[in-house]
Amino acid sequence: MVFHGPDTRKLSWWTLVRVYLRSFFSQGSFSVTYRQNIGFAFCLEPAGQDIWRDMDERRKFYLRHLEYYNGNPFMVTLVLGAVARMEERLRDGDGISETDINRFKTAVGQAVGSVGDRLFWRTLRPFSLVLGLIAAYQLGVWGALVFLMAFNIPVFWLKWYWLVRGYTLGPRVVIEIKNPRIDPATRFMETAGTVLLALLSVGLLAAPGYRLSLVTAGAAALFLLGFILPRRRIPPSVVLIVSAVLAVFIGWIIT
Amino acid sequence: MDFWPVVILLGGIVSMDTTAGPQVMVSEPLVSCTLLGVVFGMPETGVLLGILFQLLWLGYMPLGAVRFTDHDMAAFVATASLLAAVRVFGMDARMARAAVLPAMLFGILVGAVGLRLTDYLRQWNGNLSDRVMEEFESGGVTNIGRWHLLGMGMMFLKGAGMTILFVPAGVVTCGLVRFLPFGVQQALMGGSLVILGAVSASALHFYWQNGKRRYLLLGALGGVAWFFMALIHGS
Repeated sequence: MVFHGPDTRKLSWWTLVRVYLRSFFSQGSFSVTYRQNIGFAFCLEPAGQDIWRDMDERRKFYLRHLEYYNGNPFMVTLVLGAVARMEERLRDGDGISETDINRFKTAVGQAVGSVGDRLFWRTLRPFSLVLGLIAAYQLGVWGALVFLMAFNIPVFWLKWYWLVRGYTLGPRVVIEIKNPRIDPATRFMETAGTVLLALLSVGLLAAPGYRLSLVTAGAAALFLLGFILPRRRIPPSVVLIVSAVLAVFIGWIIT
Repeated sequence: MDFWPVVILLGGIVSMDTTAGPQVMVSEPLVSCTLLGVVFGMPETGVLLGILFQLLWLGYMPLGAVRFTDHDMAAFVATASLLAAVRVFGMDARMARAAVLPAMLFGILVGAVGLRLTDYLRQWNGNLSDRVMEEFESGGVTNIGRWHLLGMGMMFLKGAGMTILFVPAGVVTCGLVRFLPFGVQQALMGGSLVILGAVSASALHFYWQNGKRRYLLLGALGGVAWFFMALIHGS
């Protein structure tokens, strides 16, 4: 099965599946200098091999995608799909130049990085973790599975959806980055995550025996300290060491 | 000692999954510590340590270009050390609880070493990129997958190597708790309970920074109501 459009030869579903599977390893050889350049070329390779049959053209394809690239690993499929479409148009002489592809990658990579980091790292991951932590607190080992499912089901689906959308839209993929459904979803997960984590924290602090005890009072004292110290820009490792020392001291008082 | 091959393999996977791929989050402490608990036949202890470390590092994100403490490996090595110490030295539940704080502090050291190693590997990957580009520029076509796999493999080896090196050291650190005076052991046990306050604060601070203060208070009020309901129900 192929995607229909004005171009002469289209990528097959199998090629897109291969790109999709490789996209899970886009940061495999992340470097300080070029970031995800090899990773991007590696992910796009199945499409490149389909599009460029001539070895010299294929070499140019690799060199093009070994340029600096940085973007969010979960939204990389959006860029991969769009770039695959642009490569096709470059081959067909359909108003796309090599410079256009490089400029597009730099610009969209940054936009995708910003949107993706907020959506996945700052929102979905903490939200899924809070769900997993609550489940672990109540159900034990199943908490890990709850977290894995809460995080990975949307990720696996969105990555495929974005690959297909990117390939369909080509350079017009910017529409998808500004998807109006992203903001409400982000706000919901941030709000729900905050409420649930606060609920869990109180539950954890009060947990030992469900009674107001010295342990609860000690935990509350360390809670305040753990909250105040990071606000004074003290590194987390130092906060933990100080907390651990104080925890032993409190432990000595209460036992 | 039958657990070693599995623990080393898991260490490699945790290190790889953190940034290199597939980033399906098996590297998060909640998952890796639970898995370790299952491997060592102590699932409840694994889950508890997973909750502890996850709360501590909830706000830590392995964003691509950011230099971050290797918190995933830190939690993994600390948990593996504690669980292995329980198995190797036959420590009871009281002793295991006393070893939680030393294991956590040992984890901080591991996280700092992990950060340096990741920095080094990312520099090394830069040289790898230079070599790949040189090959293409000189007119050849090289197997890019092989180079990419090399980068990922090094990340796996980093995790496996850290496990081989640090877990035995962590086992000894946790095992030393047995030789401490009884009073100090008791203090460490109590400390392992109250430290939950500090790690909860660490997690909540993440949302506080994001400006979700009203909702934090709302959730906390809900938690207090939950607590009193449990109290009434309990009595």
